[in-house]
Amino acid sequence: MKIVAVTPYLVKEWRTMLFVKVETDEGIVGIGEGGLTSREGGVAGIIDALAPLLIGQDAMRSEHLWQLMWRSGFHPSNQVLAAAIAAIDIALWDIKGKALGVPVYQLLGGKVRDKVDTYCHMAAATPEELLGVARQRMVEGWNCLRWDSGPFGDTLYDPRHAVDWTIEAFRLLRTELGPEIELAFDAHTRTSVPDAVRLCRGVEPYRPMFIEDPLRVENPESYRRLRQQTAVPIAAGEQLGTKWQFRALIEEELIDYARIDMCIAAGFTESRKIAGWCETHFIDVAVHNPIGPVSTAACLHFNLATPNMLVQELPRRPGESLADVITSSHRWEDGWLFASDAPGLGLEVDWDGLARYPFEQTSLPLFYRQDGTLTNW
Amino acid sequence: MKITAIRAYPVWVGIRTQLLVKVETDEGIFGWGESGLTGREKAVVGALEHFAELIVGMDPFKIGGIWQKLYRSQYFEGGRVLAAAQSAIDIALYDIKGKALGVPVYQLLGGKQRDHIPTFATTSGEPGEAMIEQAQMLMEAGWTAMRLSPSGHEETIYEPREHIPVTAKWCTKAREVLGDEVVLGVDYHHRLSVAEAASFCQKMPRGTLDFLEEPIRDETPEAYESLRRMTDIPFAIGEEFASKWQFLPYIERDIHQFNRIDICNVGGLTEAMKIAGWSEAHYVDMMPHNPLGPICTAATVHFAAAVANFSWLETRSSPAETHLGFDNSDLFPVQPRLERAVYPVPEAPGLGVEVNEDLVLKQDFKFWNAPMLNRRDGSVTNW
Repeated sequence: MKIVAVTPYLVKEWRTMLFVKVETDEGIVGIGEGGLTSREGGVAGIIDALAPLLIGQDAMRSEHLWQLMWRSGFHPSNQVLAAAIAAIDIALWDIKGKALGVPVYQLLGGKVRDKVDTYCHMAAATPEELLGVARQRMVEGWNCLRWDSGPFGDTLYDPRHAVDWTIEAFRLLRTELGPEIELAFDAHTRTSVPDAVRLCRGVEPYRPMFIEDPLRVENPESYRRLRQQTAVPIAAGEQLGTKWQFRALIEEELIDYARIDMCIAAGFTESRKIAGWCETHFIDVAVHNPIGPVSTAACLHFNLATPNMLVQELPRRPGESLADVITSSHRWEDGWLFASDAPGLGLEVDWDGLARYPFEQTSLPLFYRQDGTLTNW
Repeated sequence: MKITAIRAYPVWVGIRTQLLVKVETDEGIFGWGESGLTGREKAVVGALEHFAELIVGMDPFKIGGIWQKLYRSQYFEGGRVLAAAQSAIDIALYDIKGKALGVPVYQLLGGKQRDHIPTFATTSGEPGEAMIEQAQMLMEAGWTAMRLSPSGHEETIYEPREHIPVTAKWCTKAREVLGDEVVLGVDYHHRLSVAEAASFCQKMPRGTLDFLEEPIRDETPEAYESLRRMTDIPFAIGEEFASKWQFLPYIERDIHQFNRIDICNVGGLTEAMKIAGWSEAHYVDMMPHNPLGPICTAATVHFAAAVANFSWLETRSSPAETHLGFDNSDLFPVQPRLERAVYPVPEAPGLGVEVNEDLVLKQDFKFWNAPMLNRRDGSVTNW
């Protein structure tokens, strides 16, 4: 079975998304998704550059094609290349599953669990408002809640106020909602090490599920200073594109949870190598999944087959995003995701219908400090 | 589909034992696996009886789930006996899944990276002119990589210091005769101390050996690190390891340069793929251990086909070792067959191995034990 076409599709619905269509000479078509939000054009450009390498290749040779895509360009392109490979790799596994008549999880070793726990996104302007959102989510059935809000309005970020806000939010939610509900906060790389230490120590009594991305990740070894000063579980890794980029975090045990983004960390092929070594270090995987329904489906299959797994991020449940063009056969109930036994990823795609969601170049928010310096969003 | 039975067959093949394991299902599909703990088959058979209690009735497609259950279902996890039992089951489950889906096992591991599997051969017999002639014969037959023979034991006596200079001298001679291109190594089979291994390495000019396999025992990675500082010969280590955890220091601290993983000892293909994936992060190629039977060879051939970072597969079926008989064709009528110095990638569904079960059932168990050696002063020394 040979690949005959590789085509990127850029769309915008509740957010920008990048899909890839991989077609074969036997009529089987696979869909993948790339994850580099706000740089989709770069990823699409690399997909177009990789397409000639892939045309005519055996679609079942996913590992071989991974090696070809990663190493054939000579110059390392890290996350942009990794996200392009991710999209294509996910599509290849979709094709593989369809060709063999099995769901993708069967090709990853089969199920180690029957259902996958999930967490929702929450946003609010004040801790009190956040409490109201949280109550609503709990009524809907979520077991785990995550927010990244703070007192920053549109662009002004003050670390001290943000940390105070977060500590108060944890205190309020834990006090009012009781001990069972899982609460997580995404610091989104905004904090310095001292701010992160104060944040983590401040929320420790309220049993966070994890604090996510407290630090920027260019120098992963900085996590050591943070970890020496707090017992709060730390989750990080969503920006990383390869096993090499994850190496320090895993081997030095600088994180408790690996936020592998399958649509950036080069697909099923690379993500499972990372997850396999996380198991050696007793690090569980908590995938980064903030994008579209293909990422959600890929993560679901991956999580069903990965023994060391905590929870799946789920901003949109099956049927809540692009439902009229990408139909998911999976279901969500009471906080858990269940997979169907449809072959491949379990998605039906109306490719022409994607044109109803035209892409718009969309910048991410820009945050500034009081003195005017750029700070991370 | 459900698992209905696990059958363990300790058999005598060629000059020693093999432990073949068959996993049967209610749909008539069955899979073959092999355990690698040569010389302790009864212990592994016992472990398999415990495991049968746990997994008969389960869906054989849940390979990863069964792995977790077998590994973690009691309190005292892991270890070589349980891992060898688990390896056989894991391999058999992949055979079943491949047959059920109509694809060779390599398709379930990511598809093929290569069209054939390069192998390395091993000379037999004592170091000397005959060994060098044998090496030349292997090169003419197509081998570009091989292990030379270390000077061996007399009966039950082995004094490393008497044998090290002999081995070193003939390795040096072999390199002069055979030229610079052929890849040469020696398996010291964990017989030496750190000091002895260092002396051995230092007796040869640089470039004599391309790899040194298992010079010392593996319980203490730091000992290997100290040896690493005393020689520049690349190390090939890993056949003794029974899990990814045992590999951890060797991979992460870059102690070894070739990974001698044994699929039939480490926990099967499930565990082997995780180890291979992380070895790739450290640019260490897999050079799998394969001194057992055709089922081990088949499982390892599929692994070798699918893994990116790969050097050579051990073969004991070369013309230099026809006396071993591990690949007996009556017992294994369908098995991977060498073409010159390589194994073609098999295309039949599953592992591509058939076992003559009638012949297997006719056998009586016979114990085999590794040679047990002593120093001249009477103390125990490793074989």
